[in-house]
Amino acid sequence: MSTRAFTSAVGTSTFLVALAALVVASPSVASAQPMDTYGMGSRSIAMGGAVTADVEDFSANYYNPAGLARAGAARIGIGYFGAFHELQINQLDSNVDPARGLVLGLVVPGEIEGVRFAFGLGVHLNDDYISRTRSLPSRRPRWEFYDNRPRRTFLAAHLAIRPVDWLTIGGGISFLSFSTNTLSVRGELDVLMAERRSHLEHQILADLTTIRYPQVGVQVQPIPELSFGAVYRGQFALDSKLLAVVGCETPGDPFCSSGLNFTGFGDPFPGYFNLLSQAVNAFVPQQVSLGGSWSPTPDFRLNLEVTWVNWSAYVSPVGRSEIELTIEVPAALRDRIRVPDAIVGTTPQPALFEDRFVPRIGAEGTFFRERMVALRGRGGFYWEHSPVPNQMQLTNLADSDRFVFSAGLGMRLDDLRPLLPGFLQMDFHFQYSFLPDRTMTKGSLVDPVGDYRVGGQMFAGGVTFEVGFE
Amino acid sequence: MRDTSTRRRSTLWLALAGLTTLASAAGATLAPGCATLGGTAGEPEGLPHNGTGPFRDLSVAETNVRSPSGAAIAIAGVTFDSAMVASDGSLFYAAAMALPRSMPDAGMPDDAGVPSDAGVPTDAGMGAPDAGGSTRRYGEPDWTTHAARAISRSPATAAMGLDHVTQNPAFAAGTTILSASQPWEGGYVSDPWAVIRGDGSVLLYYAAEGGIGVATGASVSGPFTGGASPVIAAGATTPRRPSVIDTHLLTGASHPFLMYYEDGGRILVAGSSDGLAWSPIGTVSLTPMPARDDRDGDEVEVGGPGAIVVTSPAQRSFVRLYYESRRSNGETLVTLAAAPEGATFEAFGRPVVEARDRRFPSAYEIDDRISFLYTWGPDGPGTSDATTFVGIAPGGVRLVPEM
Amino acid sequence: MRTQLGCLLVAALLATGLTIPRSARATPPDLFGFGARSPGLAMTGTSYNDSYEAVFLNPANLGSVRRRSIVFGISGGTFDLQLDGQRSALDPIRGTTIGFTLPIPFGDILEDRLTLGGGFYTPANVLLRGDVRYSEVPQWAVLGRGQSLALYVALGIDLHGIVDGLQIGVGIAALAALVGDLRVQLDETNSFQSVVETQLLATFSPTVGVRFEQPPSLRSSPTASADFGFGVTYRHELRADMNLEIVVEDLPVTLPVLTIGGVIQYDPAQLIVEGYYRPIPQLRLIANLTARFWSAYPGPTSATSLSSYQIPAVEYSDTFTPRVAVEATLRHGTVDLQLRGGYAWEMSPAPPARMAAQRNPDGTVHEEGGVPVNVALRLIDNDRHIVTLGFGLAADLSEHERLRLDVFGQAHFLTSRTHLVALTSTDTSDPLTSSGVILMGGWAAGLEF
Repeated sequence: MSTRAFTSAVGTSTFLVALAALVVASPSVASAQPMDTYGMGSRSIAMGGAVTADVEDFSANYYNPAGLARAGAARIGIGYFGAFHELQINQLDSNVDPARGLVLGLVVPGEIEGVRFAFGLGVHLNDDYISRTRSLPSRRPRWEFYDNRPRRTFLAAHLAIRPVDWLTIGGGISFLSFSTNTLSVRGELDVLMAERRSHLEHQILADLTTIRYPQVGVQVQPIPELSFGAVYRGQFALDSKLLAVVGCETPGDPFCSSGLNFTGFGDPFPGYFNLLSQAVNAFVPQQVSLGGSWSPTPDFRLNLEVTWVNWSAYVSPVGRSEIELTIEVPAALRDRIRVPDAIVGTTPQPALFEDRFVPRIGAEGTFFRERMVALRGRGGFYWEHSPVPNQMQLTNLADSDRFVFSAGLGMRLDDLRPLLPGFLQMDFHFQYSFLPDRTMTKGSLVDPVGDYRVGGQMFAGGVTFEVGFE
Repeated sequence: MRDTSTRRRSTLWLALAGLTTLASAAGATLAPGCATLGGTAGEPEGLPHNGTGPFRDLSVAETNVRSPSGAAIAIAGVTFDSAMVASDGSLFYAAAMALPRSMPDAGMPDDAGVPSDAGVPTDAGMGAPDAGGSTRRYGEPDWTTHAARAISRSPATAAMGLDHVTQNPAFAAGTTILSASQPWEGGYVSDPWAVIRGDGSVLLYYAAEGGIGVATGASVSGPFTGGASPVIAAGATTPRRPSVIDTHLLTGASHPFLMYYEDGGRILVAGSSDGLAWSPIGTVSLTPMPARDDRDGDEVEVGGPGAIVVTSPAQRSFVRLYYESRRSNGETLVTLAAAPEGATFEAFGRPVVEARDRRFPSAYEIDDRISFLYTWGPDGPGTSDATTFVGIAPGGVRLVPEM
Repeated sequence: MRTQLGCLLVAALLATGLTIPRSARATPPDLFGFGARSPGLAMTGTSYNDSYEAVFLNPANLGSVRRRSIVFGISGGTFDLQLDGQRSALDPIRGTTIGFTLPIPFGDILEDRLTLGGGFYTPANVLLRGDVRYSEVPQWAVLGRGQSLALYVALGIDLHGIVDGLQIGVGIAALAALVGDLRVQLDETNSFQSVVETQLLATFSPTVGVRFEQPPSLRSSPTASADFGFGVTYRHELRADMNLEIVVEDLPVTLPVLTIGGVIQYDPAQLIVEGYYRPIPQLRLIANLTARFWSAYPGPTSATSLSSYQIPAVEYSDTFTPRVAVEATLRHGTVDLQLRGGYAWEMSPAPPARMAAQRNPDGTVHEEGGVPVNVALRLIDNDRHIVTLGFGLAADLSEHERLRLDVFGQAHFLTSRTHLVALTSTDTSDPLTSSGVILMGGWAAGLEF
């Protein structure tokens, strides 16, 4: 090796290691996990998500970033995805909104002095919004895993390296943000005609602060027919907090510029209203997936996988609210305006979820191959045991076991030169989830919600197009 | 050569398609204000509800009954006593015509009520308990100014729609099915409670001066004949408001029929094997409902029971007992308790109706998510007239007229 | 599908947007530049910058990018802003930059024609900060709002063979708007419950650009760099609104429906014209004029309730910023060293802090007894002289791979400004004066392959 080549190799390796460290140590781009529920990319979904040991398209950004370095070609993918729910509580449709949106991603491989690496980007973008958060009353029954959690944009960027032929390592860090909003309102509030004669002003201090969580993965391919993979996804929680302050806590407080006066009944009188609303809106537990992929012939592949999900760390989505109300009601009006001594807020209850292991199986077979065209069929299954305990107490988090069946078709076109020195791939998938009926029995016969039965089914489908440049 | 040409042309078409896509994307980008639009979150068709309220009085538009809002029935000149809705959806009620009043001397008009009094609960015609222990307590009308009370039945009318079920929250005037005819009744009958048996025959329980009696009928339309003697006889105090359940769905019930009734500011329970012969069991133990704030007063009595057997979606059957919690300030708060076998009750501890002057609750469960609660109360502030109100829970459910 | 397909495609292109409600009226790239090369050259680059920074500067420049690249950078700065000689407490700015370029390797007539690029700036801690105060509270209307995410994706198209030397490009900047409801009411157990539902909506703003460089056929040799070039970029207005509706029920007094929000992020529409000239191969001279159409800025807040008054009209005016820069390149073996410097004069769009007429909910002037009701409006901003320096190192690892390092520093000198009101309403002495200095710096390292 010449001095220059050696210097170059050292420089390259150093840069890659440094870049990987930087990517891990600093915000990259990613957010919550609709794909925890629906998967990402038609091929991977059709195979039941059992692709930790066998993924190299842009869905590797979710399933295993190590797979990015396996890609021999630069890939650009785009697809559309939709999931529809028929989830019921007491046989009444819960009207859980559909989840629809674009999925897309990039895989950009490179190789310098024998060190193969790749940069990947994966995105799931909802149709209607980037994300939605919902903090419901503590007792309101809700489909905890399907009502709000999937309504987020997923963004992930990763870097993967293939130091030796049989090993790929990938990782990145994703971030989410939680918000802290403080609102202040002041002015005159007319007791008799609040809407028509109140004159109020507000100010806002809103911070969105980042939460970082890592994702790392590895793939080992000792022989071409066999591949193993492992991936770790970190835990994160979105904690939204909103503090609304109307008026001054102490009337005449020189340090409070936001006085509130009630008008409409003779002389104005001061008041103070303080609301704190805090809720964890998206908790994604840490997960570990271990998978294997066996390809006895070039036209067939069988994948097996198990995922451990640390649901026992789940933070209750039930919000905390505290309310304080002080009104200096003149004596003459105390019969009309009765201010309670104390207003009861709510405090979150522990969710008491259990960890779960999700077994997955997937298979892929080529059933037609010509010079330019290859057609593949795929199938998969996985079972998600519900981590939600019987809802005997205050909360009503509806959930049931989920049996997921998936199938798909893929078509690959090769040899498209001169315009496209690579390939075109089109994949379809269909996914059916069955949630058997489950009964929640309350500890108290006078619980305001009472016993209830949950269950249902879900349908999802999508298509992904991918262009590969060799 | 031809292949090459074809391929070249295909390639150009592909290129053109690609550029068109790019142009489309570019065009989209040039549309200023391009944004996702958001969406309205889906709301469930219905949420589970365990009959704990709070029950919202239906509006006049929902009941199609003249004011006051929430009245389930209104008949000119008639004052209502307690009522209940049977399992067939018909209303059994006691009522009496007001007697003509003698005209007072002309003079200064009465104080028609200071406007500022309006809406103050304590002015709503609910006097504190009479010191002398008169029967006019907790807002009860002065029945001495009325004709004898009789029991009527009104079938379901004027259907209102909920998206999957049609129900009738309100009623037109019914027909009298039972009048006082026995000496022990003391000239009136009230507090009806009908139990419809499997063969369609009806046991109609009622209260009168001498206690609680039962009349039988071949169907809900009658005819009914009052019993020759009360099944629960009056002692030092007069029992009233019988509320009877068939316990065959319950596990561990002591008798095939249980009757809850009020006597001396308590709720008592009696048992029967046939619904006709009853033996007292004892007092129902109910944890007093605590005051929420200084307006509530302390609980001094309970009464006016209205029981219903419900089966939860988990196939658990139990008794839901609505009752009055009478307060030291003269108000009555309607609350409930529940028991798996009809004997050991767990109290809810909070009111299920916002109003502080309602009595004699009677529940009618439509399905797992919606219940009606019929209560008795004054027919407006400051009046001694009374009527039957209907509330719905969850309060967010709105009835719409069926097309 | 409620969203326009076009928007989705655009969103797809732009992709990276964990965009969240903004709370600023100028994104950090708009204030201090994007990347590490352009900020050292007085934030120019519309006509010559053909790295990932082009996603912000001029997407057309991506058309000539022939190498994939990935870049990571860090930047930071500190404020010394003074109001009546007192230092304003503004948090320092720190952030990271990630960028990439990806030439799309089609063949045939699309060969060397399309390049995709992306660039993301994320503040180190607070992803976004919305800080909108009461109108009489002194607040740095433009500079104090630099805590904000910035996301760009662009596509450059080289028209070689059609019009040699001409490139065009389109790009997208993304932000998010926040809408939501907060409802406070009693539940069935007589406890107060808050029901909060918020949605982050993506808002997109297009950028279009065109560049013309000396065609290869007119250069001294086909492989030589162009001696001159011109670029024009138009960036559309980028704004994000916040709209939180608060409904409080079941209290002993009735509260009106409160609408909390307004425009929490605003980058005005901009037109940038720039040219460069290289009198000798080692020297590049750059001149730039940037017009910002601030007059369309509606002001930071909306009325709090249906009957509430609005703050006075902010009356911002359009600004024109001239910039000049120079870049010298020294080559030694396989290493290039570039020395950079620049100067810009940023006009302030904001009129001086003043007493101004409060407005009725419909926007008309609020009068009492026929006299306008004046309140203090203390939105502070100053003109700035900006001096920038920087250098770049590029080492060729092989024929196809290159390591890059860019470093920059900036000093913003705020011209002293005397306003029309005092610092506080209780202070009746001299009018408020504002001045200050901002220091910025940063670096970015990348690999081209």
